[in-house]
Amino acid sequence: MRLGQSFSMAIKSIKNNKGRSFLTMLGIIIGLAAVITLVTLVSGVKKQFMMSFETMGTNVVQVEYYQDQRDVSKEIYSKTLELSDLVQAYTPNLSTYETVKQKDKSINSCRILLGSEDYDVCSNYTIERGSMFTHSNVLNCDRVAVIGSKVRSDLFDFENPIGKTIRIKGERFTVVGLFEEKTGAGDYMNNVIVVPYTNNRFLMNSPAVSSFIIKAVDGDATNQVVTEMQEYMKELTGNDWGFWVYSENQYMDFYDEQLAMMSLVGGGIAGISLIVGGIGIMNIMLVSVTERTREIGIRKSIGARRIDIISQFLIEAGTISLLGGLIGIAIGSLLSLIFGRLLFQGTDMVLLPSMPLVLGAAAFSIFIGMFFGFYPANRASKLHPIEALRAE
Amino acid sequence: MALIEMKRIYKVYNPGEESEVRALNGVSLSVEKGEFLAVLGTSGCGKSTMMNIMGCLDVPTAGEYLLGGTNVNELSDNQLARVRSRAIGFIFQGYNLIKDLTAIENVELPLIYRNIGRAKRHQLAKDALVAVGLEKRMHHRPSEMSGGQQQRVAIARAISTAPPIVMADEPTGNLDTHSSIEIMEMLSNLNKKGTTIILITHDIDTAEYAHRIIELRDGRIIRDHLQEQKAQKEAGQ
Repeated sequence: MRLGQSFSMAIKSIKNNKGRSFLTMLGIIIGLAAVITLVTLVSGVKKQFMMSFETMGTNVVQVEYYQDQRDVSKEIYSKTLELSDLVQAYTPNLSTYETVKQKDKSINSCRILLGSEDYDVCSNYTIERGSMFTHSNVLNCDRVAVIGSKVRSDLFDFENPIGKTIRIKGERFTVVGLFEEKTGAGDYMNNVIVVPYTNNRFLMNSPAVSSFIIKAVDGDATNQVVTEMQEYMKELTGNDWGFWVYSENQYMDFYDEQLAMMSLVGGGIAGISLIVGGIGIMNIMLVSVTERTREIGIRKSIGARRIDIISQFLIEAGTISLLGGLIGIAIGSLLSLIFGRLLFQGTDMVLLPSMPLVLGAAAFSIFIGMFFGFYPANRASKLHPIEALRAE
Repeated sequence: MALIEMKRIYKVYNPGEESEVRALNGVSLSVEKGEFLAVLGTSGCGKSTMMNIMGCLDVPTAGEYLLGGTNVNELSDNQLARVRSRAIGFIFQGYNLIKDLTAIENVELPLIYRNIGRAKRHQLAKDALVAVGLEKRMHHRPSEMSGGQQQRVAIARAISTAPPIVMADEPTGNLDTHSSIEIMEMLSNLNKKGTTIILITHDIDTAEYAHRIIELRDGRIIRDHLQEQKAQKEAGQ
């Protein structure tokens, strides 16, 4: 029998039993709505994480030395030179909060970052105007600064800040560069001033230079740099505890694992719901076969083969399940949109299921219907025409 | 070669059990192409069982049944379905229409199972409904039609594939006299156009429409006679 004919008969049968068909679909609707919402939310969370990760920069290795209050910048620097094939840039990474003033304007708590001339590369900042300070600025402990977009707007409105001076802890620093605004991370990344790390004695009241960022050339290099630096730090400190080396990549792996676990657990729950939905379909199809025994007998007596009866009931089960699936996808999309709004308030992220997810879910719902519809369909096809015709 | 050839056909239900029923007890019969045969008998005499076997809806417990020279006993379920689809049209006492389908959709069903394309199928179904005078009721459901009209839809369905044999099991059993006459005249006309008709009935008046009547009792043929006078009368007309 032709597919189109079976399909239109299935639609007719669903129309004639609207209430029952809807109840049958309910399991599939709930299951698929859950799957769609969950997968979309997880991918949204991941996307946001990736965005903030991109803001922080990728392939970054952080090294901390806390054995004592020493300046180990020279040692770390020489080590990075040894690893020059793997390392793109290096900077010490100290930070403090200070009040910053410019004429009558001030910022109470501005993040002051102390680094090398490569701080921008290591922390994924882009220079909008001016330039980073130079290596000789670092060596000479010059009072020069590169400012973030928030500092510029707070202290200079929209004036060009390059060449102007600001006061940090009462000392005058000349602004030599301005960073482009970093999006996706709020003010935290833009309310910053970067100065040569050699200003540490004045700004930090300490000789210690103990925290570093090393930017590796790629993902593989990042892992190698982590290993190399761990070995080196062990040598330097003579122990396992006076330092800490880690990369964002490792953190991302961990985060990925967490998300995968979340997907797995959620997916499992949704999967169970789909199986229950499938069993619901099987149940109703069995009832339908019993109710329509006589119809099956009539069809057989006028020439329907087993395959015709099987395809009729399979297509009916598949159609019910697909309709349920489509409703589930619609509800899931709506829930994703609503939860997305709540979760990612203040961002312009719109959460909707991806096209492959929608198509996959629709195909899967047809599969569920057909899989669970097979037993009733096969049973119907095996009915003896005479016995089926005798049924009331 | 006879169109239908039954050789010592037995049909036993629940063999070996206490409830064993011998519905057919060694029936032999041959029917030629173009015959109008009535199988007459009281309730429980085995006439429906006989039609089920002749109509390839059931297979005999023992004996040989040849339909158009093919031994039906050796056919698989699907092959039997194919024979039903190609060779036989059924008319039942209870009409056996599918209640959710309109008249024309019911008539189209056997054509669907014969894989006939939509346009041709629709035309053939329409022609069959016109032939039984139901052109104005094509899009009505069975519940919207009288018993006589429903039976006419069933006849249209049986003849839509132009089968060589039409089997009618008590086709007038649920109908009033007027409708019964209409239905029987339709079957007679069909026979005149060359279709072999097998009529199952308990009613002697209905059986009178046939050219040949066999009488069944307890699963055996007790009488088989040609309606000579009727045949002569019709030949003279």
